[in-house]
Amino acid sequence: MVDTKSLMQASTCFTMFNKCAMDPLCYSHIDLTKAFKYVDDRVLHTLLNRSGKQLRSLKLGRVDAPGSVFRSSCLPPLIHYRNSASRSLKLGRDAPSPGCFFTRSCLDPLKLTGNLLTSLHIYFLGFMNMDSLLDSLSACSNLTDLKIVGVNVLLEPILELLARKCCLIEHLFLDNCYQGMITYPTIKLFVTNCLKITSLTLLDFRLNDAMAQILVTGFRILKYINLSNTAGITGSFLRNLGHRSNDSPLQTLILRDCFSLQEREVVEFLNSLIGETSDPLDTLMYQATTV
Amino acid sequence: MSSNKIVLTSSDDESFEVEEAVARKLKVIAHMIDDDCADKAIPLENVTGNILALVIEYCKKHVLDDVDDSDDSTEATSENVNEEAKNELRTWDAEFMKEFDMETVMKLILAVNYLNVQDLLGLTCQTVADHMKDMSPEEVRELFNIENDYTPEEEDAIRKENAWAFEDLK
Repeated sequence: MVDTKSLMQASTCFTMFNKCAMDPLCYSHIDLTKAFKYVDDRVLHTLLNRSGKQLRSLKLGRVDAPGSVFRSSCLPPLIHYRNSASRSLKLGRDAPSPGCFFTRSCLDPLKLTGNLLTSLHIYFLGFMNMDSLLDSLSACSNLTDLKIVGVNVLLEPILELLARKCCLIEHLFLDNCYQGMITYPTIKLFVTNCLKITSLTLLDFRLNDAMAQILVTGFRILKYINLSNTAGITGSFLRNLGHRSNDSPLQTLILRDCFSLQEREVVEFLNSLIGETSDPLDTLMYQATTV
Repeated sequence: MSSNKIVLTSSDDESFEVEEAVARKLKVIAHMIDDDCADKAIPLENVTGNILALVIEYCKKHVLDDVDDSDDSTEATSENVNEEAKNELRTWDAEFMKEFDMETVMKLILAVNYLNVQDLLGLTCQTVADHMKDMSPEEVRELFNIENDYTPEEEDAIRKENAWAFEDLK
């Protein structure tokens, strides 16, 4: 399996490769992240049409956009913000991604080809039309893996839509660069309906401790959760979690740059883990930044 | 009555004695064992000794892939152990494939396709695919010794149709 760009290059080698490259199976996994500079709606539409009924995964956009380097939870230091305005400027958040030629409704073809799609990753497409995105996602009822990074859309409607139409979701990664709000009813609906979630990343959401607790304790088979850059949590939600760790399959909890996180809460949580006979929590990562 | 040891003979008359469980990773051999046709050395006319040695090395490492280990005390523990074992095998696979040049990988693909070792076939083909990524058509033709049977007009038409994929190659 090669990425889609390499497939097109190979199809030019000789006629047999071109015949092979026209098989719908070759478009089961469309990965255009290496070709982000040049692809547009027409290219995407052509490729989705070629996939016919075979489309299973789709990756679009620029994985290594300049702003993304500051937001990776794997990088040790994070820049320090003075205010949200300068943060926005430094991250280039509101500027359109250089070289991105997709329109705001580039995912519309998924309404016809998305019903067997299991994995969708979109990176730094800038602004997208909300209704168009929701309509496209509505058609992807078999989605198990969704990742949205650097896309200026409200994410609460997406969570709500997943809860209503994409209940098979297992891996969810949402980077809330648009700074939208999220409400209790949506979180509860999401937790109630999306029972297969095992990996959850919600970056830069405005969650409080009660919301975090619903998320961390509500999914029965959750193994990995990353709530980094969540300004509203103090860590009090860890209290109940500490006493439930024996029953919970949770292995990884990441709380980077949660500016309101109280060290006292983390210490008590760690002490409660040490007191347990078993320690299913393999990884706990937190970093409270003090100015 | 099949023995616990299977003898495989390569096209250049090199013999390899392997455990039956390892030999069964080669589906062609597994069928022969099941049909009680493996009591003598099995000649493999299409596979040379050096390539067969590599296939056997891989099969020895992966001999437990199809075994379900249900003796673990808890499901969670079993799952974690399995995940670690899988990661270790993936690392081993990557190191294994690093040793070979493309010519050897091509020979492995032909042998493994003939012997029907599906997971090694996938691994070797993916190695070639990874090697091809971002190669120009000229480079791919050279790699596979392919003759370009397009007319210049046909090739131009295809390049134009997929112009977006060739921008970086200009």
